[in-house]
Amino acid sequence: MKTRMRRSGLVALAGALWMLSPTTSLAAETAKLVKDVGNWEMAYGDVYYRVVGEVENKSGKPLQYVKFEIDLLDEDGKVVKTMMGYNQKAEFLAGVEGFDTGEPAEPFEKKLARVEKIPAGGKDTFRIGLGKEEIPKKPKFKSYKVRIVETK
Amino acid sequence: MKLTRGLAAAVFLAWLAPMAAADHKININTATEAELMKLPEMNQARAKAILGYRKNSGELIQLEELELLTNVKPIFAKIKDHLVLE
Repeated sequence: MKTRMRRSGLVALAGALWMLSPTTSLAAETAKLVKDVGNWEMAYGDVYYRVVGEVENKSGKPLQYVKFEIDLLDEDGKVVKTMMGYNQKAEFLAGVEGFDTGEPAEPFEKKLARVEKIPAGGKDTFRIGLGKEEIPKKPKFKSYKVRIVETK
Repeated sequence: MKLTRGLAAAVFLAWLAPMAAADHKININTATEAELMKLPEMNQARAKAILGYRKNSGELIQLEELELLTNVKPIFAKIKDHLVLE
């Protein structure tokens, strides 16, 4: 009896955690990729590859962030590099590209409190990239794939 | 018999032609200024810009990087089919 109660308690706890935590499968349903395009850019003499695009909140409630992973793929479709980032309103959650103040990093939850939410049905842009020196020279990537991996 | 031989030769040459054309493509990561000058609408300033970019940013990962060069961008569509990345 005790074991059964303990087991059902664990199941309930796991269910509650699943409902509270953002998951990959839910992420794709709560946010939709509207458009995306990859480009080479040059800034202050450094070369970057960036994917810019737009995402729509389909969750029916405000979203604090949409987290993306972008895979750079070779001609066989194999991943040569993965880059990560957030929608523009929340992009500081990932830190600023190439900028290190030397200060201790602000806790994620504290940063999260400062994020301007995407309203239900609203859209936001994203801009995620890597410096050229971080991208493998071999095999060279031919295409990319954007994945929404997390929403909250 | 002669006709068959002639036809076979024609088929063989047709098969060889694309390979020969591919051989004439220029590898953007190793091309010299003289080789770049063979490209359509290429001039010395553009060729030097490509060599300078390669020197500063390393080998090209994608041909589209050439569009970062303001003087090469206008001719990119015309030269890209003559280039390979190796």
